[in-house]
Amino acid sequence: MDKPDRYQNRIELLQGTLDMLIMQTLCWGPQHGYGISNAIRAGSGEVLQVETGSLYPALHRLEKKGWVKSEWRLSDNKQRAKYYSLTSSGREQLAAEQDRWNQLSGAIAALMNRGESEGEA
Amino acid sequence: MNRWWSFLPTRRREKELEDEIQAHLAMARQDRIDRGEAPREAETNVLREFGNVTVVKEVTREMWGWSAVEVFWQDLRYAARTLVRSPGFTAVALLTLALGIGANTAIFSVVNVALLKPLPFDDPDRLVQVWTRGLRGGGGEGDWSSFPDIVDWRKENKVFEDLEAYRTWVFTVSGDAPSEAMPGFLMTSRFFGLLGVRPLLGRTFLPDEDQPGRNRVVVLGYRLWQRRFGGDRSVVGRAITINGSSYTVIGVMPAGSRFLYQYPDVFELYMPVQSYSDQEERGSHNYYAIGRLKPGVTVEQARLNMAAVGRNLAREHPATNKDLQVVVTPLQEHMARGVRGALLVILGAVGLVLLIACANVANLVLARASARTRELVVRAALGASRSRLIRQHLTETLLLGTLGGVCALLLVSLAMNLMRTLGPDDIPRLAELAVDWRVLLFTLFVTLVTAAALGLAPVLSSSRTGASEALRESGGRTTAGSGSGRLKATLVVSEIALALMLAVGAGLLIRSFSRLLDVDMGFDPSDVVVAYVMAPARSTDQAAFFEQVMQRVSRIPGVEAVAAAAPIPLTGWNDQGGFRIEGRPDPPSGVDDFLANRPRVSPSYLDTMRMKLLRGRWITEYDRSGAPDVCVISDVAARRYWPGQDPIGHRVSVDEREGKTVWREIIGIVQGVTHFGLDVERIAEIYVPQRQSPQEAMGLVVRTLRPVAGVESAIRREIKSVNSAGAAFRIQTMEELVAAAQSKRRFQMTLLVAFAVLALVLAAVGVYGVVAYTVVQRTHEVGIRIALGARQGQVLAMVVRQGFTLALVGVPLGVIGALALTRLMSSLLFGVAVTDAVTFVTASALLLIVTLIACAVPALRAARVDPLVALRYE
Repeated sequence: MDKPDRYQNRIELLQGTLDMLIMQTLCWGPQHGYGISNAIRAGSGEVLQVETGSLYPALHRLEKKGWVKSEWRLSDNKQRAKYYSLTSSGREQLAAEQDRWNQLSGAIAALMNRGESEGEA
Repeated sequence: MNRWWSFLPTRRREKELEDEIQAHLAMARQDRIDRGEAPREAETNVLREFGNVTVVKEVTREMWGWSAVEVFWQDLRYAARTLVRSPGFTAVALLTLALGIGANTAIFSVVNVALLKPLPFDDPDRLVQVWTRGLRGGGGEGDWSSFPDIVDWRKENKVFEDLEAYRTWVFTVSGDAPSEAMPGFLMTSRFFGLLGVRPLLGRTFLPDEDQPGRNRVVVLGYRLWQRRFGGDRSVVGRAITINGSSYTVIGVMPAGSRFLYQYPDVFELYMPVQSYSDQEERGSHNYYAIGRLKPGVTVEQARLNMAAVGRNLAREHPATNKDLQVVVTPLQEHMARGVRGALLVILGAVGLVLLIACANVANLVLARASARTRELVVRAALGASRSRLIRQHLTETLLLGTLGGVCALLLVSLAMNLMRTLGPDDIPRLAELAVDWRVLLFTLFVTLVTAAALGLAPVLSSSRTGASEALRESGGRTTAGSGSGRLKATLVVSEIALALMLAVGAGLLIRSFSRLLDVDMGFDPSDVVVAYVMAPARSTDQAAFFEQVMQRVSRIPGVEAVAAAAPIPLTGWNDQGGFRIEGRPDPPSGVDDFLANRPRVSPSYLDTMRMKLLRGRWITEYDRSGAPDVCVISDVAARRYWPGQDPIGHRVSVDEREGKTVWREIIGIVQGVTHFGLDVERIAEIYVPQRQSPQEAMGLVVRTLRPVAGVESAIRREIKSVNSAGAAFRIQTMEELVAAAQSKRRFQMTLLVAFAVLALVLAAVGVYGVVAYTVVQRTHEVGIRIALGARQGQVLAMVVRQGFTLALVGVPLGVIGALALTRLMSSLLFGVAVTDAVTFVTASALLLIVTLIACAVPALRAARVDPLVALRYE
């Protein structure tokens, strides 16, 4: 009956951000889970490593919310894979999250910078 | 939006997730291989990088969000798996539930046809039986009325759209085939229309065909049509001879149209009443009346109106009607009036059985729940919400209950066959027993209530237990869990109490039945064959015909004695009526009426029936027409009408000859017979020589050691040899008639005893379960006790004491319950008080013994515990 640790905590930590990253990735066109995970890793210069235990729940959650949709297609290597793509409401959501993210990161950056300059002084 | 996918079958979505992950793995592997890794190495790395596939799936699945249907489906599958994993528990629980629900459904299906299912007539709710109740008692309550009264009701009532009458009659059909006698109906012409019963072939009666002098027509029953006319459709329009006259067949009724349920299906001839002498006699109650209420008129309004009509008639015809009261009863209620109380008692009894079954299964569920406490606690610790756990548990009991219900329905079809054969004739429409929507609805209801009750028990007991406490409790084995233990004990105590109540009920019926068997019938029914015989229509000397028949039948080998009588005891046939006593004024209204059954008998009747002559002499060959008119009375008549006097030599009158009162001298006193039923109070009897009062139809009473099949054809042959127009019907043994008279009580008793036995077994299993469970729980303790020097006897006593305590609480509760409930069944008892001490003591003792036996097995097991094994048992 002993179950291994769940990813729940880490998902929650990343939630919102991960969703946004996924949707941002899908802006460039339909992609499967493996592709998304590669794209985020490559795009962040190997800094952000997306765990599958976070990625797939996020994809399914986004699909349930109607922000992405999925279909089965053949990849370039003739591999049958589930491709996700952004829906129009997903685009709206992405824009909204980008705004929020910009505000948030701007605010955090301002706070952090002030702390630094105070420290220097 | 995008909700559509949540209705996808789980299986398919599950497959998509699996495919998605496999695709991920395949692509990652391919990439690594392309980058130059060895396939095997790539495989390992991919899996490591991906993480635990099962966990990924699980956390992903959680995102789907289950629809209520899916959650239920999941719970259901989980429940099914749990049930399959413990086949012993499942089998016992299912069997118990199937018996409990099945017995209830079976009894309900009888209640359904007898009391609930609408009669198959047009607008059956508006049909009522109208009858006269005499204020005078005795002889069972008749529901018949006189024809002139019915005609007046018709004219004077304001509540009926239609009011039709019928009576039973015996017909001799002859002509095209050997003559044959059979019972049938005489009816007013719109009778079929009143009910809305339509013929299979031809037509029913025209409105005026019940008037004297109109067409002589007849409608045949389906079986008569098949038997005598080979199902020939051209029979309609053909002339047949009935009672010596020619009648035209105008129609045939469809198969199974026994629309007057109280009659056996040998009634197969329907004829309009045209002119029969008794139609003129207001005092002669031979007819039954069925009315159709006008739309919107209630039964209560009809009662009031008819009571007024009845009072008017009593004023107009005081001689015949002064004590009569007109009664209106819904037709269905009227048909079931003799069985309604019994059926409801039986339904109540079987409900108790279900309660016991529920308690038992609840105990099993509890025992299992405590065995599974650890599992539940772990699941709760892992984040399963409390409501989810409860829901899952309820699903499990629901599944159990439903499966029990399904098994029950399988049992019910068996039970229905049993009921159809076992059921007494007075339960109407037993032939229609079937699982219809009402029965299904009932089963569904009972099943759901049962499942809910089962589901609730452990929830109630475990909600008090916190998770940590439960973990601790299931870890240690020293003592039984206290919370659920108390609930279990309570359940077993109630089982014992309920079983005792059933045992008392069954005991009272057994005692009643044995009283019934002890009833002195006043005659010896063994080795007697009874046949109804019709004298040829328009026979000049009916008495001579019967004498010749008796003579010839007495010469059949193996026949010891032959007699003729009209009517015969226990056949439902009677000749109950008033009589007069010479020198006394006719009785005043009400109280002390002169009422007697007046059989016409042959001289051989006393010896053939082995009746007892108490005083004086019996009727002889010389008491014939022309000789002085005589009669013999019963001891009941003597005691009631000549208290402290010798009735012999007094004169009474029961009949008229050529318009003049016939005074008959009482020549002897016999012991009375149980004419109307074994448990019906005897009324006075006045035996009249058949030679002095000839009858058209008589019963032939034949005492013979040969089986009825052996003498039946010989009797028929001898009757034909006397006169080819004579005919016999319904040849049966007197013992069959006695058995039929007992059948109602036997049926009630059999059912209640069966339920009581079932209840005892279930209660025993319940006690066994609880005691055995604690013995297992206390194995360790017992081991220590034995190691410390406790003797086997002490261990034995310790366990038995535990079980016995349950019984000592349960039995008094059961006695109290029984005292409260058996009062409801007082109408079913015969010669036994509802508080019969013998029954109560016996039933209580039985319960204690059963409890002891149930404790014995686990007690012996405990006594044989090996301390070494027990201590190592951690």
